[in-house]
Amino acid sequence: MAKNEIIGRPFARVDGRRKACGDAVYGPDIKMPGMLHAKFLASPYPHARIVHVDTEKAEKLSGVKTILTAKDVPQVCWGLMVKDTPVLAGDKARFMGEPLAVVAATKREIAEEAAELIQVEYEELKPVFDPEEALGPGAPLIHEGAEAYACAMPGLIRYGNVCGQTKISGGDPEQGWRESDLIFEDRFSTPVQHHGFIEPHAVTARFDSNGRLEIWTSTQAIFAIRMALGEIMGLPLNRIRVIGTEVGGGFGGKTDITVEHFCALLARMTGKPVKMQLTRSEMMTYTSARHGCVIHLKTGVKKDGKIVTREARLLFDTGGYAGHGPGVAALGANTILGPYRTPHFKIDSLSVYTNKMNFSFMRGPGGVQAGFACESHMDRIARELNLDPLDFRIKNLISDGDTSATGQRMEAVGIQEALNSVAKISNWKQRKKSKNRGWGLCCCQYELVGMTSSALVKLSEDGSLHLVIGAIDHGQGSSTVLAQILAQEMDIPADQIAVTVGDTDTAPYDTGTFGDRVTFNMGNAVIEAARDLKVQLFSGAAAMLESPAENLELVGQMIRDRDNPEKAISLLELAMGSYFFQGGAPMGKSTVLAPFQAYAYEKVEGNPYPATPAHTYACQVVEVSVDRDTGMVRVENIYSCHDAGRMINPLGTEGQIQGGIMMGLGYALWEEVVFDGGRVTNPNLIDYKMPFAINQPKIRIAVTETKTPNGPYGARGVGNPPVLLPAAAIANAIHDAVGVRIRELPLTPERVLFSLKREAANKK
Amino acid sequence: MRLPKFEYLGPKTVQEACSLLAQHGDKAKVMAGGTDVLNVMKERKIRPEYLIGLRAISDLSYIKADADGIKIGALTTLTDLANSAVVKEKFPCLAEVPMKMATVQIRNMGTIGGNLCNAAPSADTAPILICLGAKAKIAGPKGERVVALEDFFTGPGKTVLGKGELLVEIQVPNQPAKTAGAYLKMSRVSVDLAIVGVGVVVTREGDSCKDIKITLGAVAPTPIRAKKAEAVVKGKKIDDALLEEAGKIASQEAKPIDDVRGSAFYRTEIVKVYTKRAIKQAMEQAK
Ligand SMILES: Cc1cc2nc3c(=O)[nH]c(=O)nc-3n(C[C@H](O)[C@H](O)[C@H](O)COP(=O)(O)OP(=O)(O)OC[C@H]3O[C@@H](n4cnc5c(N)ncnc54)[C@H](O)[C@@H]3O)c2cc1C
Repeated sequence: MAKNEIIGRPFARVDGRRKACGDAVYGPDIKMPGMLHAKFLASPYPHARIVHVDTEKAEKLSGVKTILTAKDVPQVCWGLMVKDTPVLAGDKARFMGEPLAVVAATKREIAEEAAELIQVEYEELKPVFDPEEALGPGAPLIHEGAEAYACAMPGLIRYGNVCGQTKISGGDPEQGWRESDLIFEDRFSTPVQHHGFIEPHAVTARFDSNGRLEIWTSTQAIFAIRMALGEIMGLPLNRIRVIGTEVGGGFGGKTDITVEHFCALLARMTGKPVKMQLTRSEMMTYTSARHGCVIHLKTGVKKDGKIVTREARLLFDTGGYAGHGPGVAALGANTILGPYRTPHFKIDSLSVYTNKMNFSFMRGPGGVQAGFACESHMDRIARELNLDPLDFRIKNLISDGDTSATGQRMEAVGIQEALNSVAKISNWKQRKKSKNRGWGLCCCQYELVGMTSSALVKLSEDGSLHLVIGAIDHGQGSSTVLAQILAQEMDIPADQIAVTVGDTDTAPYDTGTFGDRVTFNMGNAVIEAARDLKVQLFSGAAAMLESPAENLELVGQMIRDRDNPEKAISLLELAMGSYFFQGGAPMGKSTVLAPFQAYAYEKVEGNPYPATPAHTYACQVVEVSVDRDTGMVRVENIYSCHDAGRMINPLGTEGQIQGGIMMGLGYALWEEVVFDGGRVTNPNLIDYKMPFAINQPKIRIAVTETKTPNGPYGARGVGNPPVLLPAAAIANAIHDAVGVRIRELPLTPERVLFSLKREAANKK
Repeated sequence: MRLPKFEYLGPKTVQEACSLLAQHGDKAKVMAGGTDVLNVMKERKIRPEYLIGLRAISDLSYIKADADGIKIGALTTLTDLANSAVVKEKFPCLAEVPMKMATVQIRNMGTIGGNLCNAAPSADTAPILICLGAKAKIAGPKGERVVALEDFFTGPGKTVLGKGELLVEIQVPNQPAKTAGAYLKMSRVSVDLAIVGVGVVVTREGDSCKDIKITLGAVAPTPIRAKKAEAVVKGKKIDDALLEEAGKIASQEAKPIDDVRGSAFYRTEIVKVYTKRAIKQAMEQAK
């Protein structure tokens, strides 16, 4: 079989059947004998001192097993970046919906009722909801004594209500302003977006008779959960086993602890398994969501359309606790220049505490907000310079050898080719303009996350292969891609490979499923593990075949001598031989960290993340029609081009792109978690509007392949960029259609109509 | 969220249901398809001790045509309403309404009676039924009575139904020749409650509008007739200027509020536009 037969071929998902047939086990499916159900009591105030908690009445309710309040739980503060989060709010509550107490009872209804019976005396404190206000002089401090918090990530810049700040500068902005012919300034603001996965957070924990914690959870990152639990529970990590269930959607919302620690503590207290499953409204008021953001951009250009300089300020509202906020702010900073050459720049990106729930990771974090701002701003500049938006972008596009804002030398820059390709499939240059219809363009450059992945490939006694990994496939298709990669390396049909996503006991370490990192990093790990296995197989076969190991090759499940092909042994014989007669069970293993260039830290301050090993590129053209009387926007066509580096599974790639575009479309047009002060007014999916299948416009996708030197076969991630594109593309298309520039999302009919009316009034 | 505890009662006849209702008073709640009532129970907005299910009453789901028009049993599902050949033939504008509501699953469960008795200002079946001059037949401990649907609603979630009373039938009278209607609904995505709903039924005479009824949904505590706007159009030859005027007047009759779905400002604007468009569409249909 020729090489490259498996990579790049459409391949049906390895988890497809069990999901379609209903035998996949998700978080809510876990049930255990004697299991208790848990519920938490949420703060009804956004900012309040907790004076007194009285659980007496609740405890008396029949069926209640235990109630924990802040004083009953470990007095540790945990956090992914800043250790600012108590297990349960003790002296004060920092957002409405923050857990103050947890109940375990024999039935979920009883736990719910008991939580309502807990009496709490509060003393309301002055809240702050707006990140700009939170920075102001007299703003209430949300974390008194924040200086004393430990940090999990080095180099964070923190002060007042700021829990993280990334500053990047380059060139000489002052000189840049002097050299600019024209200067453009804009302010953008973006809403809070809910992840909207179907499967709620669901966790079941139990302690075995040896005092070992086992926990089943629907998560994207089993090892991250184990680490946080170790810290909170005060247990060595080898006494905790985190078992990831099948995940019914994650999108970044299941990377961190949500209620795992509550279940573990209640299980320890009661000696029973404890389960907790969140309701939609709890998910929408307690767990994370996409950061709302305010972005100021100021750009200086030459008359001919060359960008000279840019100043950017991004304010990410991170809510009551830091979460991943400092990192999200860093990603926003890294994305705000877009894929454009900018000689001079100054970027300041802050993660600010407010009295709202803790915002954190959501697909394309930081980049989605920055992408909307940057690309809307670019469009405006092009229009005002009377340049075609495509030409203006091409004029400024970066290419191989350029330096990123963070000081990395760019390679495998895929944006030119992607842009050419999207221009072609959308027929951009010949696009037809008719009344109230318009076209918008948007580009994106984002980063993927590196960090460690490891893999284990086992040769079974019968010669079949088993891949064991700790990277969760939360629906994006990674297990399928990894099976393909192993199949490619071992020259075996991919459907003969079994993939097991193990738990923290059985799988080798992986950092987690987020940031477009699994195909890239775990792909590399699988290649390495396969090569490790082959070395062992060749050395075993060399003895049996009496051929030098260097002469051997693996073809069609046979190991044979390249020069002497009749000298051959099947994997089955070899496995049998080594298991039973030669004292070895061949096992390939690897642990990899993709090579990356460090950021130029003299230019980059406060970024808590390790530097990215690769950038991702995509661009999009959107055609809309606008009903001027109602403000209703109809997306007629989407043309999207994505650079995959090297496409491993075209089916999965396209699925990721389509799904991501729909998520981006929802963000662009409808989705917004609405706050009235600190209260979410639409914590349900009737009032929070996500698109339905019927709302999907025609989407045409093209994929380019600019090989990434450090990715598996040149591949890079494709999951995040699709979400970055639609908002700006649609906003730009609306401008093209009806002449209004909307700088605030979502682009609801109401907002569009309002803008049209304002524009009409201004013209008068 | 789980349902709070309640006892389920399944009467077999309307009389039985009415007497259970009368007996338990405020402690009981009627359930038809349950697509509204179970949700508010889950949210703990109401906690009835008894849920009186109407499902077992076999003769409440029907659509019958007679000399006066059609009669629709209160338990008729939204799906059955949309699929009914006689409704499609006699009142196509009514048959179209359910397709603008909810999802397939909800339409299979939800009933016309439930939609009306729930009395949401945004209830989608109300505007066009009011325009068609529909009547509500009510059964109670003291027997039956019939009220105009226009007078059925008294406030958000409130109707004229008294203690022990059930809505049992909706009666839609035959319309004069050259009569047609249209219902336009503004919502955010396809499955959504109305931000604004505008129902119009016109009787046409040449290029003029001989008679007209306009009913607005989701812009007042109950669905309301836009009678001043009707007066602007009635008996006149329809042109764009007149429609513009009708839309403007209708928007002044609306008394909308701000909520998560839309602002009062936006609702007012949409009443203006949709009144105009609905009249145009209905006139077109009535040719
Ligand atoms: C996802 C979703 C989408 C929806 N979309 C829409 C939409 O687009 N448009 C819309 O208008 N509605 C919508 N609804 C609301 C609801 O589905 C409809 O109002 C439906 O018609 C209600 O009918 P039901 O039989 O389920 O009512 P139920 O929930 O059974 O009852 C509703 C109310 O009416 C009372 N009641 C029911 N029948 C009678 C009777 N015969 N006599 C006296 N009282 C009675 C009940 O006590 C209750 O107060 C939606 C609901 C959901 C969950």
